[in-house]
Amino acid sequence: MEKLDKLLSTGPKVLNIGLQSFYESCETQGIPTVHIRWEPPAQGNPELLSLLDKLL
Amino acid sequence: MFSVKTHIIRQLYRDSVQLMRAASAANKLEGIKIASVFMGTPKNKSLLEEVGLLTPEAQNAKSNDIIISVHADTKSNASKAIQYIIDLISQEVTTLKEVAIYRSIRGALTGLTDANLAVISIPGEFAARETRLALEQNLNVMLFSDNVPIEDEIALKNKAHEEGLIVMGPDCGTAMIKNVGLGFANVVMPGPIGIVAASGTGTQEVMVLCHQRGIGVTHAIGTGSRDIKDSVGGVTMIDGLHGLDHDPTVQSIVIVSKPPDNKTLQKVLEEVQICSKPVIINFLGKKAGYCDHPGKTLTVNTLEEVAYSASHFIQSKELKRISVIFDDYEEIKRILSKTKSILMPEQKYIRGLFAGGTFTYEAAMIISDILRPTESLWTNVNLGGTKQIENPNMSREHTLIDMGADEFTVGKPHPMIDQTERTRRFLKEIKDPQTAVILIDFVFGWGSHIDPLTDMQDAFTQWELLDRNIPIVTHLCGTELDPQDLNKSIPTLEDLGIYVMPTNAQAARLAALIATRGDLNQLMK
Repeated sequence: MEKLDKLLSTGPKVLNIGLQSFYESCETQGIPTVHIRWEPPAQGNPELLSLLDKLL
Repeated sequence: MFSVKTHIIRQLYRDSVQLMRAASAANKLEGIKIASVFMGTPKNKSLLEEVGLLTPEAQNAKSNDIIISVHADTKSNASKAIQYIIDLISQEVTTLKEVAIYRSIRGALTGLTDANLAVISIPGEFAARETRLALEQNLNVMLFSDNVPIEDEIALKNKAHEEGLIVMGPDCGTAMIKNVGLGFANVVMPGPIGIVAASGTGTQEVMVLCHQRGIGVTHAIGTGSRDIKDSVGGVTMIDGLHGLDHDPTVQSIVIVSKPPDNKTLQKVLEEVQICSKPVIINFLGKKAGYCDHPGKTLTVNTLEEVAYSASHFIQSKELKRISVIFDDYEEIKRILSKTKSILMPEQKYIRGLFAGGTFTYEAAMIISDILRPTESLWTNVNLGGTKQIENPNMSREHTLIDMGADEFTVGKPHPMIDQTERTRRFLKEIKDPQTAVILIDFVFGWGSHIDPLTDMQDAFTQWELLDRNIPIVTHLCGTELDPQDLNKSIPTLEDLGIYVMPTNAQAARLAALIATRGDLNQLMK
């Protein structure tokens, strides 16, 4: 629980993965945030992705 | 003669809000029956198949291809709409002020080395993988995505628990950490309330009503709706509960959820007993009284009772169920007297069109208690005492519809971010001579439509032009600090003659009394 406790006591510092609008609302609220420009990995092929994950 | 056209944009990714924004704009064009824009993920393709729009081109699309599907009155209008969507998507210019572009969690950690939370909102098929990668980097996770397999949810939550981390979600729409709203959350003052909840709009209602009583909220930990199933075991609810108990800024803890499965219910109630702070519990639909211990735990029946009782505790240090029927009885008497005099005899039924799933559920619970035993209440939420409507597009007798349910949001925006579908349904309901009252909610805050009332302006104009009176009862879940500004919105609606109630529960009670020509005395027994 110590990492959750620390999150609650220090406040969120966010990596945003997905909706850009969520990044923007974090920015507006003035919290440290970076946005990850996510795209489906392995050209969006879940089978290929699973294979790559096993190899890496 | 209708025309269905599909167009695929290869190798271009846009997030679902950006795509829905384009779809929503296209749906307003001339001759368009429905325009939808998806990424070509397996889940989206199966949804398209269910509604009969999976053309061979769409079938061949990959997860990083965009599928545009348009159903229009003519080929020409369909083509125009497709070109319009292509232009909108191509023009989508990033507003990011970033100096560096990150494409992975590891990469992003070089830009924010002390990050402690990953907020993940990507297609469900890929969400578990990113969550696992985030946990491996010692990040807590808010997982907004839905359609994550339950086996993945169980594994991820157990891993997080072992590592002292938390996974809020999947399907976690609302959270607040140290008064910072994440996902769909209202802007409220900071304060001594901590919430752990398996309900997004339930959380929003409690935080808003506490704020309106001058009591702030510091944290709201969302669990996702499946956390309370025995297969998951309430891992996030229990860890969240203890997290709130450890935080010195929290003076009282609130739990809001549908009732958990039996084993999880017992486990949660056992954990509640060992908390050092008073805990107020609302398992919606479970009659209060199942876990009341003076000064330590209190069970309540509605979201309104949660907020009123929690605020009362903070103000007086007395842990007591605060129940009201209406905040302003004189105003209700005046409204009922007026509506009784204007309704025609055939206007008998409530038609509820909700954006909030929990609001639908709570309203159904309240209204079914007020209706006569001979009257039926039809809904698309699963609640004992109501009847499951076969065709959610077609109201019958008293009907309450959660318009954020899957059947309304396949390829279409949720009513919290776009009113197009709700406007259509509203116009249909006001044409029904049996409609006695329209019950409708609006949810404000981060993530929600910036001006939902203007989005429904045309519908309200048509309602004003009707040759008979249909009262509208509404509840705005919002604060004066929200981007939509509650203080500006209430007079706008009241000037139209719409009845604005302070809570969802009170809106439901008023709608039931209007439709049944009831009076206050029957609720005060």
